Amino acid sequence: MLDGIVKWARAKSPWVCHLNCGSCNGCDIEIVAALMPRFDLERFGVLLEGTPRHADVLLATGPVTRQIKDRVIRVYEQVPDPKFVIAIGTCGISGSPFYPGYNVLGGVDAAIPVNMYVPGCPARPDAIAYGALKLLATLDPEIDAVVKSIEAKYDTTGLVYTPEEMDDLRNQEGAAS
Amino acid sequence: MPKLSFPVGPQHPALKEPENLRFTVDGELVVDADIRIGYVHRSIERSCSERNYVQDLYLCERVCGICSNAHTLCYCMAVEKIADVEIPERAQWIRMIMHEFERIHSHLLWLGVAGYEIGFDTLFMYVWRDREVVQDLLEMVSGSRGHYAMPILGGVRYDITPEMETKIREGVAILRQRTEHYADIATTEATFIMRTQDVGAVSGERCRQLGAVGPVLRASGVDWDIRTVFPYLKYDQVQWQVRSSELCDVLGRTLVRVQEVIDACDIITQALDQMPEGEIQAKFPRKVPEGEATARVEAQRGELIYYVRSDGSDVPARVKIRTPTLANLPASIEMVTGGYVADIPIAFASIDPCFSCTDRMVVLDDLRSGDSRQMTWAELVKLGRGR
Amino acid sequence: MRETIAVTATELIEQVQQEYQGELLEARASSEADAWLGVPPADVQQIARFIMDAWPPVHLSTITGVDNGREIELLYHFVADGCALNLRAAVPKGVDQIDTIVPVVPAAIMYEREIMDMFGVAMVGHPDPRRLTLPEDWPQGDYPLRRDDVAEEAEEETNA
Repeated sequence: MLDGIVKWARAKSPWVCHLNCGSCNGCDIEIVAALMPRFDLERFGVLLEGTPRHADVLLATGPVTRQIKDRVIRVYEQVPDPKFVIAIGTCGISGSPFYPGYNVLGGVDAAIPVNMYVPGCPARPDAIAYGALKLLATLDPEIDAVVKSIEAKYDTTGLVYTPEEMDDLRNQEGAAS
Repeated sequence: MPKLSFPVGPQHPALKEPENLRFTVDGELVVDADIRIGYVHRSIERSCSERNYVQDLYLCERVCGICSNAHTLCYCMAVEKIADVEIPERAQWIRMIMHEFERIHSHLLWLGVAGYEIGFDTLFMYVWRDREVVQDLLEMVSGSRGHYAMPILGGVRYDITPEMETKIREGVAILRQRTEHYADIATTEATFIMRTQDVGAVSGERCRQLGAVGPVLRASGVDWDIRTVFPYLKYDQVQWQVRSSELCDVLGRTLVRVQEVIDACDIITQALDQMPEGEIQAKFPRKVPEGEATARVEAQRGELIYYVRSDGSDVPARVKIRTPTLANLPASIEMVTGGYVADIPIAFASIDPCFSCTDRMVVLDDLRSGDSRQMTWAELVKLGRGR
Repeated sequence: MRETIAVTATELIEQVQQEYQGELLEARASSEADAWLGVPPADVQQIARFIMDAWPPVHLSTITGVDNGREIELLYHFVADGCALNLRAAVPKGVDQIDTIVPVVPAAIMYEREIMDMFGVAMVGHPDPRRLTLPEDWPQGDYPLRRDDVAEEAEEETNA
């Protein structure tokens, strides 16, 4: 019962913290745009918080480099459980085009577990909003209904990837090469 | 057998956060500053020598998500210089239009962020709403809101159709009008002036000595703009002027940028009026002949310079990139020194720095008390907003 | 097309050849606006002083390092009176040091630090020789833009 209330409270007003692992800032700008009136994630109660200690969701951009990896893990550890990570942007997913590079390890999941992937270079604000909502849909039936109505109206294939879908994609590409 | 579990607690107190900004303070006054930029190193220059010229176009584009077109433009100019390829007339005009579009998007982005840093949230919201006009135009022409990939070796990727031209003229007219409104705010709104006037002041002479560029240099009274020093594209064929201010402070930098947005609107309109029909791409060799060249552009943040050396293959021997932010860093240290701690965010932001500060750790060493405060950049910004 | 030509590259080169007292290894104009000079690395402060005095105010855009196998070429990219002036000083590998030009060109402060990080060429007399582009805990002796494997190949070729 308490579990359900915590879930509901979290889904009602998720606080997101933005972590730039070393991106070019392209996706960071689109994250801010996603919170601005035009795309308006704020209407779903999503608030941008400065510190990871108060966050529920970590929006992570950029490739993970040798020098930043420990810090990314430390920030992740500061986020209280239960926590979610959304990797945003192509370099957040794979490190590309910086990977391969002598100190680039890969995308965000080279350091921490990821719960949702939003591709794009930069990722679009609508895709970021959709990715955040899709994640929150697993916690809140109201948001789930919103997501379902979006999916009924638009073709959202490839807009975002769950970890399972990303694994499938990577396996396919691995098999192809 | 009972399971043993170990609590995974907060990080060990002995583990130091990597600090990137260190300020020596005396109470609320900043006595000294130090900025470290090593954490965003992505091995781009070396990677450029491990990828071919075409791949490097896309890599260099991603040095910065806000200046990306300036990078592709400058890169193309350097490589085209070595290969001695002249790009078609129409392509030059389109490149200039994209260059100015990017100036608009970037300066408006900056203005909104500057508003945020001083607690002027309505300015932030309105400017970013208006900025969506240029984002839509960029997406219309290139297919993307960022990393437009318009300059390619030999020309530009896409043409501007007559339908697009109509929309661009409409959009630019709106942007011009709205930006005139922001120019008004910057010159008459007491709260804005109070937080920007005499803040972050550096003289023109000092800016020059320290190698500062762009709006930072021009807001300290130095009329230096690559578009007139090394004229490129069609800047010598449209009416515009180099904008500068004698104020030398954050307010001066604001006025220069806002005026440059208005000028950009006018340059784009004139470009649409004057650009001829014709090809937009010239043939470009896959293997670039041996040679070396520099190219400079006036990116929105200031002089951007590329040096490229070719060994005759399809992979560059060397690509060197110096972003304008690096040139402005020494001046930025002087901007915060002697000012208040609460003014650090806006003073530092006034150089329009091209690296994300939001997760940087800040250390304040207090001379008087001997204490050392550690906080995130976001927390420091909060101090500035509350002032 | 340049509206106002301050000093052309050819004029600049001529002036250097007439007035500069030191040795010139290279002096050419690749275009109306691009001049290239080369000096022995020991003379770098001397030529920097000459440049700063000849066409004030001179702007230093950046310093490029290029590993050509045998040497680390340092290219100081100046803007002198509307002309791009590229100054080359090649530091032989094994020597790996050159005088700082910061006392003459304050703007060089950041760019010299970058060269030290990326190429391991010491800037003798630099007022603040700390790491710039690499983090503090980057391994000593690891210079990302040095291509010492290339140097070994070049040596094998000359020995063969």
